[in-house]
Amino acid sequence: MALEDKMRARSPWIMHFDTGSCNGCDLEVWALLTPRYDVERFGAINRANPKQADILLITGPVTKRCEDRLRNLYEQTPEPKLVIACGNCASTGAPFHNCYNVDGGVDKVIPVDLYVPGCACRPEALIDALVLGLSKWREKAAGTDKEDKG
Amino acid sequence: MGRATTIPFGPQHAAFLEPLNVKLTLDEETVVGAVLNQGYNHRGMEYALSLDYRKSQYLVERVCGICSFHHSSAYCQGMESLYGIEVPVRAKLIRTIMMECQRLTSHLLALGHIAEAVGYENLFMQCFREREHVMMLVNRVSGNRVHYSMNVIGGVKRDLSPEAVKDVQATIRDLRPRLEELRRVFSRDSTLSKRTRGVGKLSRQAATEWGNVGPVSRASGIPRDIRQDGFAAYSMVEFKPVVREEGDSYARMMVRMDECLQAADIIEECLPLLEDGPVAVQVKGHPKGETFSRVEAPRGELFYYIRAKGTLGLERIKLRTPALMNVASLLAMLPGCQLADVPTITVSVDPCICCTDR
Amino acid sequence: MNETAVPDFDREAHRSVRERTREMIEAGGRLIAIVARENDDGTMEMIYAFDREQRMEDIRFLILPEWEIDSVADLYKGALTLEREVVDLFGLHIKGVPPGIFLVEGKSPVAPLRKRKAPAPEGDVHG
Repeated sequence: MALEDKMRARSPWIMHFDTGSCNGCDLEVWALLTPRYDVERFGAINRANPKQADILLITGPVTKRCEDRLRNLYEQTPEPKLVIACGNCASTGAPFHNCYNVDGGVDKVIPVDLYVPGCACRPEALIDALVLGLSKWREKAAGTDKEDKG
Repeated sequence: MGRATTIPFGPQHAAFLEPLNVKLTLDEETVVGAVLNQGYNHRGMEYALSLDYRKSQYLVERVCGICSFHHSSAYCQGMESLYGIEVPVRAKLIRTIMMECQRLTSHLLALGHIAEAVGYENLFMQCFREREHVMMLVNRVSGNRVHYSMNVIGGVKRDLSPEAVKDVQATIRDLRPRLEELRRVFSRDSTLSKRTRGVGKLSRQAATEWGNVGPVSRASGIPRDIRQDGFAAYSMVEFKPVVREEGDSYARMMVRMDECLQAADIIEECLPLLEDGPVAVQVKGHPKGETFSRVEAPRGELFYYIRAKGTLGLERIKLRTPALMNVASLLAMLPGCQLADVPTITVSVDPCICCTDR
Repeated sequence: MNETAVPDFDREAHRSVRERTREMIEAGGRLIAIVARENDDGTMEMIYAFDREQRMEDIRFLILPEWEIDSVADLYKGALTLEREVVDLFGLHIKGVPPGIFLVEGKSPVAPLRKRKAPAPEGDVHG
């Protein structure tokens, strides 16, 4: 693993995007960033810029209007990136399943690496997902590294 | 005059928790026109809620996570009036206590966001720290942090145990000095006041025309609070709506801050009124008829129209959320302001897009 | 339900919507919501709900979905959002009010809350 990847694993920057959630999971994502759960102690900062992000936290079922935005944001995020679907809606689309303006879970639009269950997903579960995600992210980084070397 | 530039603001922006797009027309740094582009969160709740009224008790909380309990209270209140039943007093008091707890979490979130929008990160963290005390309290009381799932048609599902009552009492007692401290910072801090005073002015006249509700209208001098109508147990407690006259971002911020303290007062007033008794009445058959139901959600008046025809499905359920009116009034506040003030103004109306779009 | 039967109702009632709204606003009313609802006979009921001196009052009338009704947005600015919502979700026609507040053209179903146009669930059923 290259040095920069090692460093990046110690400061994964987060970008949060709401694709049509009820706000419940968004609140928990914000709780995650604020004093009680504070993921900043692991080096994670919330950045609203996809170009600077390593981890995408997506909340909510994907609505028809958000679909293109989500794809756009995903494409702008540099590799290696990690997508975490926060909450039941983002994971499967339930309970808004079959609502007329909803596509379903986030994985209908972009590839998802980790699914966090819960309605709303608890901050503890999100921390767990981030920790799991980092080990996955290291694997990914190692993979891309190999590809780069040809 | 320079050439007019158009820039998009959102839907994915640091100042917004949720996707909202404002297309701003600028002349140099001054905003001359704004177009709102919403619908990013439109899921089709009104269709989904009308499918099965019993499942709607679950789904109605998922309209919005910040004011979920207010949504389910408005829905259950409407259904109860269709059934023609009176909810037990204890259930009414529990609803009131939980609604005020949620108002605390919601207002502290809004205040935190205003602090963040003006660049006061420290205060933002403080607000969220105090908010977390309430979040943990409702977690201990209801078992959930966000969607309390306590309301059923006819009352509440979960009673407050004597320990829980003591817990609420102790938490609010501990929280009050912290809230007062926060209020001191919000009202006196010169940075905050420079960034918010006179920014995003909404006159009383404009607030009436745009149909503003809740803290936004009360900050513009309209003394209207649906809680005065006495739904749930609000007729049993004494309180006066918080009203300010300035109509700017500062006034909106301070109305929310004062309402936090008021919420603590109301909770403390409700607790001694709790007497032993049932917390729910059984309902039989399917509902039939038509009703309007209103509650004062943290963002203002929440309106439900329910028409049932005696079957599992509802004929029509219509939600008019407070944020819908308040977000629309941004068009009155934004023109004339500086580009740097746009986040402050937008956040000061407390936009809740999942409510707005449903 | 007989589809060809012409429902019997006051066909002129919708013309006075502006007048009645103005009266209500001048009397101190605040428009809360515009509710549209479809009847089984194909007529639409429009309910303009007002808050006046802490009480609910409403203006109601029946229309046919093809009719164009007058907008009250110039009397009451906040009404525009409410009207756009009705136009979008029910496919009704209100003078000068464009659709597209919530729905995305080409992706979302047209007039999703209309009964006959209720979206057919694809695959499994809701719930």
